[in-house]
Amino acid sequence: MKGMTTVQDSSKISPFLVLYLIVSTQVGVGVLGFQKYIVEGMGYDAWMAIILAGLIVHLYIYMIYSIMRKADMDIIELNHVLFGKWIGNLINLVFILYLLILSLTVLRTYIEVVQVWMFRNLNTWIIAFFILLLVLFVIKGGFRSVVGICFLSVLLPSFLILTLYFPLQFAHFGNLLPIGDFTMKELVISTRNMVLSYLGFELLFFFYPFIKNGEKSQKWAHLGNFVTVSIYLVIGIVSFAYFAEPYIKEAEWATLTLWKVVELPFLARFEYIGVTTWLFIILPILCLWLWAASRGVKHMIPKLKQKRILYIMVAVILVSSGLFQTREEISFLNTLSSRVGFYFLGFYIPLLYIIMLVKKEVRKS
Amino acid sequence: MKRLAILSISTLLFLTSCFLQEEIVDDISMVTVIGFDKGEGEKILATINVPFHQSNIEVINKTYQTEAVFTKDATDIGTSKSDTPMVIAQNEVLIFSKELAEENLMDYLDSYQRDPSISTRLFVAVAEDKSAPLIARNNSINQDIGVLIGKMFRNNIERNFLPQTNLHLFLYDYYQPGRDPFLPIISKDEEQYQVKGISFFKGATYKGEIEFGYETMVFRQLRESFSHGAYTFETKDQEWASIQNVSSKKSVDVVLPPGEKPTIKINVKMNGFLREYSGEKIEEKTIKEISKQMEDSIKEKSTELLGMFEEWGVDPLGLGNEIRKNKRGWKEKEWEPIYEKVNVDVNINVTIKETGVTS
Repeated sequence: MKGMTTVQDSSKISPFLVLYLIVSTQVGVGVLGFQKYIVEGMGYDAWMAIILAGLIVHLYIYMIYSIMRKADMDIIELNHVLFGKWIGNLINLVFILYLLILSLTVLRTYIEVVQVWMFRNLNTWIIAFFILLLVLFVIKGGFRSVVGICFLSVLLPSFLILTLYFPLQFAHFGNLLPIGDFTMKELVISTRNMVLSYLGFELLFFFYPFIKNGEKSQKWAHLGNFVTVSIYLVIGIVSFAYFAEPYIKEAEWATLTLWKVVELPFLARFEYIGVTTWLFIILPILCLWLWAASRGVKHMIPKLKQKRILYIMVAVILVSSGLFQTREEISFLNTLSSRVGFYFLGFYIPLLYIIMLVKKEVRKS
Repeated sequence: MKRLAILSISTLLFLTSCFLQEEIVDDISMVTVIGFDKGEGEKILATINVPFHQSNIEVINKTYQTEAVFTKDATDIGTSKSDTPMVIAQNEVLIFSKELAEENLMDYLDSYQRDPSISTRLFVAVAEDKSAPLIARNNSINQDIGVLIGKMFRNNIERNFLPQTNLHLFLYDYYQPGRDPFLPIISKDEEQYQVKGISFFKGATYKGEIEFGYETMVFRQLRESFSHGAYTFETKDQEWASIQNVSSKKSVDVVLPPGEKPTIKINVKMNGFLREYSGEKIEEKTIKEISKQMEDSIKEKSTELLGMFEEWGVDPLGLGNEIRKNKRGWKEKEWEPIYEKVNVDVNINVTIKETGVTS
């Protein structure tokens, strides 16, 4: 077993790249429409939930680092060691399925956005095929090329933040007043819904062994999460100032609707640029998650080749992406993946943390 | 893998027209303005304008009239009459007849609000009477009339007394609790379009209107800060003074004394520039006199406007919203009618800064 999980130095990455990995997995299709879900509870006080949920994620990142530092192996193996062969494998299976469902959700939701905002009669399978082909291409280059895509996907679309200038022309910051008009229950609802938008940091479990001097990357991971929180906070506050509250509660993609007011002398509709640039944002997510899932399976069943597993996974996602057609079905997919993520990670990470605190030493089997 | 990639990319290039519907500017009818009137029975009568750009710079405006149940049907039926499919993504202006505005505009605007291809900078206006005559029979105008009307509105917002308006702001005022929307009124005289006034809505139902000019200027001052426009008025000594607005700043203070009626103070600070005066000499005293009189006249007009708003039961200044900002657990129902529940105090401060240079 031991030889399987040690990673060669040549395929490791510098600690500071963890910043880009964290930001690129956390910022996905969620940004396009998270406002509706967090406003559900606290109304326009929800910007507090954005910060609070960010702090909770900081805590989780801290826990993951404590676990991984002590374990010095990746999560698949750790589950074997801690929970035994059967239960450990079961947890691994859930983890991998979760990654696959998330990838499917991100892919299908992005395609839905393209279909609604740009090309109504675009066939799901055709666009999914080309996106997944690109994903395969990237993953084939190994983990380092996946990280390269993550790096680009943070830098290239960052110009999109400038477009917030246009809605700011019509901003009513008075919307945020009065501050603190909420109950405890509403706070919990908003914070829970917001944490879902931050999911993606759990990938640390998989790529930790790939970081040179893993311990040193913790500050970069926290910084990455801080960047994500800032992005969400800025977009959240601008959209709260721009839209009326009853409107945002119905708005499916509030961030995209913000772009409907962008007007440039040489470009009438900015959404076309925005939605196409968004491919850069979802691409690293798909790459990283599918890479992690295929690597996970390879560890569970060492006989299989990672490439084979990857092909099968991509084929499954390609076929199933076309099976979700209506808004309700896609919405169901989103709810499903976020529920699974929330409960699974919400209990699993603290549990693992406590076990690792109690155990003095973790020995490889 | 490399071969596969090259193959798939090349097929992608060949496939583009197979799974996408192309919309090339020359092959579609780009609708720039639509006017809606009441049609037979439940139906609405749509007057659709499509500009055709000629090889010289001239534009021929072609109008289609269709009757349909829904607003989007109207363009679909229009497609059957025109040689190329009608596309509304570049729509600049929507005009509704007053008759429709008196019912509920949201019935018609809802499909526009949900259409991703529509810009929220779209202008929505109410016709002085019917909207069809505004759009049809425009043979002598050799410009795209959608663009023309859109520019006219923009011009009036940037340089005159039309408060900021577009689809987004209408929707914002419509949805925001404690605020009511307004829309500009458009009319056509001979071949010239003009902003006739501003109409006020409760929800999306027309309630009343004010005239363009002094009334809309005072309304704009009470509603938002802006920095342009000029107004000429008669002073007490039967002289005329023309004042250019350099900046008009609005701020609101809400005083909520416990157990008493709250007061909303709307403060308007206007800096002006005396452009012309028909009197003999301008002394410091006259300038003070003129600004005092201007203050009084704006104040008088604002009281009059607030009286009208109360009568119509509309709240275009967002007074209810001002209370909401300052009171936790605010409920819209408890504060209606707003004009009975609060005192509104308008403070106008006019400063005339310059009188021009003598050379």
